[in-house]
Order: sequence, then structure tokens, then C-alpha cells
Amino acid sequence: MTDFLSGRYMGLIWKLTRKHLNIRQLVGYMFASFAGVAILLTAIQFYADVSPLLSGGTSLISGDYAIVSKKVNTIKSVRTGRGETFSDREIEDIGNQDFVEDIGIFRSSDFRIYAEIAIGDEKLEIATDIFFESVPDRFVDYSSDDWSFDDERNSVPIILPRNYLDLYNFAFAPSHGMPQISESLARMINIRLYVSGSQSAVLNGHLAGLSDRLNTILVPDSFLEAANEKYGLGTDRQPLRLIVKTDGAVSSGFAEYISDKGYTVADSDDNASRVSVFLRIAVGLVSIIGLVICVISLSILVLSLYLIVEKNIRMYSALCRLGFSPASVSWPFAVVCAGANIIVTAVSVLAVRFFRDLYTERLEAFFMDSSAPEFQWLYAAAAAVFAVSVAISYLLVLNRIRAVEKAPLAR
Amino acid sequence: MKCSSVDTISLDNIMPRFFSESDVQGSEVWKSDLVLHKGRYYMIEAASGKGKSSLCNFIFGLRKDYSGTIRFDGSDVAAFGPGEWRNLRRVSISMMFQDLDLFEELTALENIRIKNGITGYFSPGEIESLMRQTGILALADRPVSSLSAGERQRVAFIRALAQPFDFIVMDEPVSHLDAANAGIMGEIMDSQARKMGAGIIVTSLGNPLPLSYDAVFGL
Repeated sequence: MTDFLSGRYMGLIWKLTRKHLNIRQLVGYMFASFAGVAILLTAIQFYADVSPLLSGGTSLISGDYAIVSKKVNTIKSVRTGRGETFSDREIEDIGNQDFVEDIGIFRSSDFRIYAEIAIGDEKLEIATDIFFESVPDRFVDYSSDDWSFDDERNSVPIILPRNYLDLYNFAFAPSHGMPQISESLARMINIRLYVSGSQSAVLNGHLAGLSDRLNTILVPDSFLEAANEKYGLGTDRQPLRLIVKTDGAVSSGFAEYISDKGYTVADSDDNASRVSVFLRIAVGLVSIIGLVICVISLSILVLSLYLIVEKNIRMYSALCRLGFSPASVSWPFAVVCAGANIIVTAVSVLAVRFFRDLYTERLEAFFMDSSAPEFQWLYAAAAAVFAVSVAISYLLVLNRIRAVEKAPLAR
Repeated sequence: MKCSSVDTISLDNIMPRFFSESDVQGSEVWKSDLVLHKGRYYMIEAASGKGKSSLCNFIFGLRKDYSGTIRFDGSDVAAFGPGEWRNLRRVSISMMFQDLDLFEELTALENIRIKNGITGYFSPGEIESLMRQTGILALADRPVSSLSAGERQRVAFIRALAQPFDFIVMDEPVSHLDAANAGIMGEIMDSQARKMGAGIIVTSLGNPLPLSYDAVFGL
């Protein structure tokens, strides 16, 4: 007889609560909650997977930026031989606008450059006149070690627009019987640069990367500044284009300012940033739908648990009359909430991993060079959803039992 | 107020709000000033409908529909919060309700254990001994719902004892028991109360718990 008297009261509280649990309602909650949590977590994982492809990676340019220039005025440019440049005052004015976080000028090469590449044996040679531009290093999403004149290789790193390579691979090479070049192969090609201005020199160059967003031939700013000093012809070096980092919002102030001043924002192939905006909106919408389902399902759980308390007001009153605290009688609800939600969260995470396999298969081309998948956002979001669900449902039930303790039924 | 011990319960001019003046005429409790002391035994005798159970609920803080003031050691109980009542019900005031307030879902023993679980007052051996003395040991593992009224009364009685108390209030505790069993309960009650120096308040329709009462009041 003594052994079954030795237990504390927790087992009995559990026994009392368990008898009133409605398993069907609980399973209903778990299904509904699974739908919501799985949708929400899939949206988050999808965003985590896709957004680096749009914002970083291929662009080499960080942040939300715009390239500002003046409208090309035919008569003036024919007369002066140069387009409309920005004065220091105009640059300062743009920089002072609220929506502008950072501003940089495009520096152009003030000397002639003749580039020559030899592919494979010396028979395959391409040579052309080119130009260089540069923007301050902080706008270039590229590690600073690689993004400077390479003394060892005696070589200038160059970022080319991706369409240059496409033009070569799909238009030029086939018609000239030349081999197609992959990006990684292109990086290994040595470019000879014949520079002439106030003095002449032969330099080496190499491809540092391809940009989808910047339509220019980009070299490090420090290199171009020094080169302009050394080889430059001393012509007007006021910038023709500015690179502006905006506050990221689709700010009407920026668009208004640009049109007021008669500037143009170059369509620097910012499809990526547009897609990124749409992606954010789409993911946001899907997340909201998931969240709404989560909230609705959570209210099913809370209602179901409330119903247990309401149907057993007498029992909870009796426990309070015996001197039990609300916490000491409500803990089985915490166990039930935690149990149900840990199952829902775990199954949802598995479902997200499954969905992820499905969509990565379809987007395989884009994921080819992506590194190992990252799930930290998924796990963090899953943990947050779990914690919030358990906390909200348990605290609401605890609150209801507190109300019972305040006014327990009389006998 | 930290109510670790209650030495007196004062009933100052109290009367249920649903009673009229004529209902309480001749009562020695309603509309009078009564002080109940720890260590003494009181019987409150009344015909049914006179408000015995209401009085128990008033003292135990479950109902507030009365006029006048109930004080524990001078403090008005109407001002006590849930936390103070919880503490009082664990260590100072025990109650055995007329309808017993047992958990139908649990066995006889579990009904006693659940109270003893929060107070830790009795050892398992003591519970066993009390159940044996009152003749319900064999029913320990039977669900309460299958017990007779008299058997349930004994379960509720042992449960009410499973805590320290300064006062124990019992609402018709032996209404379903024969004289022999009532006598046994009276002896147990007396020895438990003496051990703690506690006061006993028993209500009765006419067959009271056999004890040597210090005072008897007509309700």
C-alpha cells in the first residue's frame, strides 16, 4: 500500500486533465496548424534560398543602388564632344537628399585602351578598343584583396557585363568558328592592355567577375585614379554618371527628385532588383496566408482547451478550494500544447525540406554554383513559431484558470 | 496579511443578503457579534434552510453575498486576494463541505492523496491507518463514484484532515453515518484537533459529530 501513496499530486492532476482531453479536437488542431506552419516556413526557406541569387552573387554590386545620369542632349554633345557632366554642387545636392544613403561618382578612363586576348594557341585572337570606368570600392561587392591592382600578376581585375560574354558565346564565336568560353575559363584568360595617352604602356588584365546589373567595364577605383594621373590626357574629368545608394524603399521622393532635376536613372538591368521586390511581396503574401492559418488553428487549440476548463469549472473550483495554484493545475495544458506543437513543428520542417527538394529541382540551373543549403532561418523560424504557439495557448488557459481561482464556485 | 496562523474568527453582525430581518430573528449567529477561538469546539445547530452552508462558504471565502464583516485575527477577509486564500486553505482553515466536493474521476485514496500532495501533511502510513480506522481501507482503489454516501463522507473527512489547520469547518459531517462510525470520527477529530490546538466548527441538523463542545449556537 505504501508505494502507491508515495507519489506527489502531479500524476493525479494529469489524470484529472487527461480524462477531459478531446483527442479529435487536438488532431484537428494539429492538421490545421501543420498547414499554416508548413506554408509559413516554406515561404521563409524559399526566400532564404532565392534572395541571395538575386541580391548578391551575380551582381557584384551591393545594396539598393541606382545609376543617375543627365539626359543626352544631341546638339550640346555634338558641339562639345562630351555628354552632360555633373558639377560638384549638383553631386553635393543629390548627396544631401534624405533618401540617399551614399553616393559615388563614375570615374572614366582619360586615355585610350586597346585590349587583346589570345585564346588557346595564338591563332585565336580578339582585339578591340575599350574603355574603363570605376566606382568607389564600397559599391563593389567584392573582397578588397582581389579588387585592386595585382602587383604579383601585374594585372588589373576587370568586371564585365554578363551580356558581353553572352554576345561572344552565342553570336560572335559561332560565326567566327571560335570556341565558346565558360565563366570560369574566362577568368583564366590573360588580357593584354595597350594603354596610350600622355605616355604609353602595356598592362595585363584579368576577368574578376561578370555583372548582370552594371553596364560598364569596371576596374578598381584606385587603379583608375592612378592610371588617369599617369597616362591621362588631362581632359575634363567631371563625372557623367553617378552611383547612388538609396534607402531601399521604393521611395517616391527619389523618383520625383530625378524627374524634377531632369536626370535619368539608367536602366542598368535592374531586373534583378525588380524581381527581388516582387519576390519579397510574393513571399510576404504567402507568409501572411501561412500566419493567418497559424493564428486560426491556434485559436482552435485555445478554444478546445478553454472548453475543457469551462466544462470542468467545478473540478477546477474544487482544486482551487483545496489550495492548488493555477500554475499547479494548468501544467498538463502546457504539456499538451508543447506536445502537439513539437509534432506539428517537426513534421512541418520535414515537409519544408521535402518542398525544398521539389523546387530546387525545378530551379536547378540557378542553384548549380550555390554553396551548401542553409537552414538556420528555417530552424530559427520553426523554433519561434513553436515557442510563440505554446506560450500563447498556455498563457491563455492559465489566465482562464486564474479567473476561476479568483471566484471559485461555492458549494 | 501573511496568514500563517489564525487565532480567532470574528463574525461581526453578518447576515446573508438574501435573508430578511425576520429570517434571522432569534439567531445566535446572524446579526450578532461572535468570536470563535482556536482550540475550542463549536456546534452550530439549525433546521435546514437557515443558512448553514452559506455560513461555511462565507467563512471559506467562496461567497461574499453577506452584510457585516468576517475577520481572521482582526483582518477583514473580504480584502483577501486569491494568493492569501490559497495559503489559508493549505495551512490554516480546512473545510469539509456538505456535498463533500470529491473528484468523481479519482479513487477514494486518490481523493485523499491529491490534497495530501500539496500539504505533504500525512505519511502514507498515516493515511492507511486513518482509512482503516474509519473502515474504508478496502475501498481505497474504488472510484469515488461507486461509493455510498456514508463511505464518501469518510473519504472527505480524511481528506479534510490532510493538512495543518487552526480551524476546521465541517458542514454536517456525519449526516449519513451510524452512531458507531460517527463516534469513531469524533475520536479521530478530537485527537487531530488537540495535536494542532485547532478549533472545530461543526454544523448539524440534529445528529452532530460526537465531541465535547465548548459552545452550541442556534442559527
